[in-house]
Amino acid sequence: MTLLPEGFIVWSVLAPALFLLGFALLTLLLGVFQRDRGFVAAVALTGIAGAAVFALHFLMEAQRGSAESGFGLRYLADAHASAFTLVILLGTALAVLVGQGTLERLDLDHPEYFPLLLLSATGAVVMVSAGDLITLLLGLEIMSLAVYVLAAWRSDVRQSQEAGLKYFLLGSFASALFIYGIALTYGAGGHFDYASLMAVFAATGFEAHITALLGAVLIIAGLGFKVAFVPFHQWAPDVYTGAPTPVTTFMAVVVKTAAFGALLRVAATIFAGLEAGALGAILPGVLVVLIGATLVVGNLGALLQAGVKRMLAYSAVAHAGYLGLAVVAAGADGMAAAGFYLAAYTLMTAGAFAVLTQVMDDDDRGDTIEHFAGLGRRRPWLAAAMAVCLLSLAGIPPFAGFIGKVLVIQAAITAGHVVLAVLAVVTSVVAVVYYARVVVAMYFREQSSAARLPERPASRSVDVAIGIAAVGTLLLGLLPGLWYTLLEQGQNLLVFVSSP
Amino acid sequence: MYESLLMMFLAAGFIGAAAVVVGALLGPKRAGPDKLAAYESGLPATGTARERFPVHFYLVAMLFILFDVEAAFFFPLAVKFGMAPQFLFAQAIIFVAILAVGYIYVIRKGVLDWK
Repeated sequence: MTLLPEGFIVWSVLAPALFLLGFALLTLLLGVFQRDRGFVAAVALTGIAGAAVFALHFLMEAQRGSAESGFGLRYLADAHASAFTLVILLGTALAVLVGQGTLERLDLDHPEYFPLLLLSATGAVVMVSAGDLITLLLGLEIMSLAVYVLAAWRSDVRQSQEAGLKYFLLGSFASALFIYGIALTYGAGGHFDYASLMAVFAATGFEAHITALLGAVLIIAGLGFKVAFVPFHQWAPDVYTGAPTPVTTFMAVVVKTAAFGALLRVAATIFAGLEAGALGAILPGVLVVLIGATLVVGNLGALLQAGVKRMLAYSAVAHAGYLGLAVVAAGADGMAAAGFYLAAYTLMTAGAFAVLTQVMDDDDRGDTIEHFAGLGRRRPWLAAAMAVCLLSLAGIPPFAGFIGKVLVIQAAITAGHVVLAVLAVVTSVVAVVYYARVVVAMYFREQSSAARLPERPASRSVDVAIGIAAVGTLLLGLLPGLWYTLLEQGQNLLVFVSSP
Repeated sequence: MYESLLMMFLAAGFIGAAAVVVGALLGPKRAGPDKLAAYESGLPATGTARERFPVHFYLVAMLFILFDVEAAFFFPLAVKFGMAPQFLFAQAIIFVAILAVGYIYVIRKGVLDWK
């Protein structure tokens, strides 16, 4: 008698996550034995690069139509999983670079920053690779626990304490909802893995529609909290503003990528299975209402903010709305569109936050639009990078954000959600206003005497991060095919297109 | 099918309530200074329980619980060990290695140095 069937365990698919975990432990040890933080950061970047090599290998395998999986389709390394892993690693690398350059002067230079980032990234990778609700839950918790600590990193500042506590309490509550959703889904379907659930829900004899639907809605609530769908977005502006800016960078890009990667997969399998059965129209209806509210509240909220950091926090909520368009089209083109959008979003958002760290003072304060006035003359390169990132976030061609928006709107129209698509176009016109406000201040206004740029030497690692972000945003905008073909042509396991 | 469960809850409630009520009604009440004092396992109680004690206790106690609970994870592993010895042995080793890193971290941070 054996515990597991032959060929069940495939260690190789775990390689990116295990590599990150190994380097998280290594950086933890180096952090307490070695005082040189630059060296620890370099080791962390090495670990991220190593994990990226494995993810790239799996992405290439998926191009050849031989996507790998392990543990009986419970852990996947197909095109979706490995592409999202690469985006997560990109976001983590940018957060490492920004943290390396700014934490010292913010007096937050504890050696635990890098291991916590890597541990959180490990959880994020597990989330996007999960083919099973329990695996997904494990990844979610591994990712979240480290971020709760990071949010409260400035333990002597009240806003940061508030951010940490708020994120922890609300996050635990969201996890509880998520677990209850998993329990109900298991109760209705009798399985934890996506493949079996999808088959059970779509089968003709399936009876427990209400239970399954309730489970699906609770799963949306749990993951919707992490991606900040309205009405689960309340924490986002406070936590993003209260956390130190390098940590905000990480939260805004990596946590969102991981939660969307998981949500898209769940939508393409479990939700699609439910939609194929009776009561199938309810679930897309719930999603459409949430996403519409997210688009409106996120964009209007950003319009009303005075601080740029808080504006970017609301902008992160608004972008969750645009990515939501891909979720309602997850079975068809949505997964590839979201993969492109999130790569663009990671570059431009991390770039904007990285510039923000250079404008804010040593107490991590001073982010009003006044502080950006005249930046175009004083720091032309910094202002140019900020302009590229903001215009891309606004969705103006030729930057990556524009292509991303086109792809998700196209996917939503193909899936028949024309109303949402129109709403997305209308709200992105509103979005231009608040992004352009900062650009106008940088180039067309004189520096005000009250809000001076802090005098200090530029940090090389932050400059590298800003450079990668700005050049990447431009490159993805001009040559979108480089990344999109990999997503579109790569083989995805478990995808189920429900008949309309 | 749930009637027996209901009966059990009723019986439990009755017995619990009866013990308290009967004791309060019939029990002899001969209060004295010794009987009213806090019971401290037979030792004479001294001072207040609300003393200030080093916050360090909290950290050590938390670490103790952490490592103690981790050790409990070995029991299910031991029960099923015969089914997949190599796989489970590898799992145990990985688990202990991760714990060991945490232990080294705790020592280097000086948490266990009693100041």
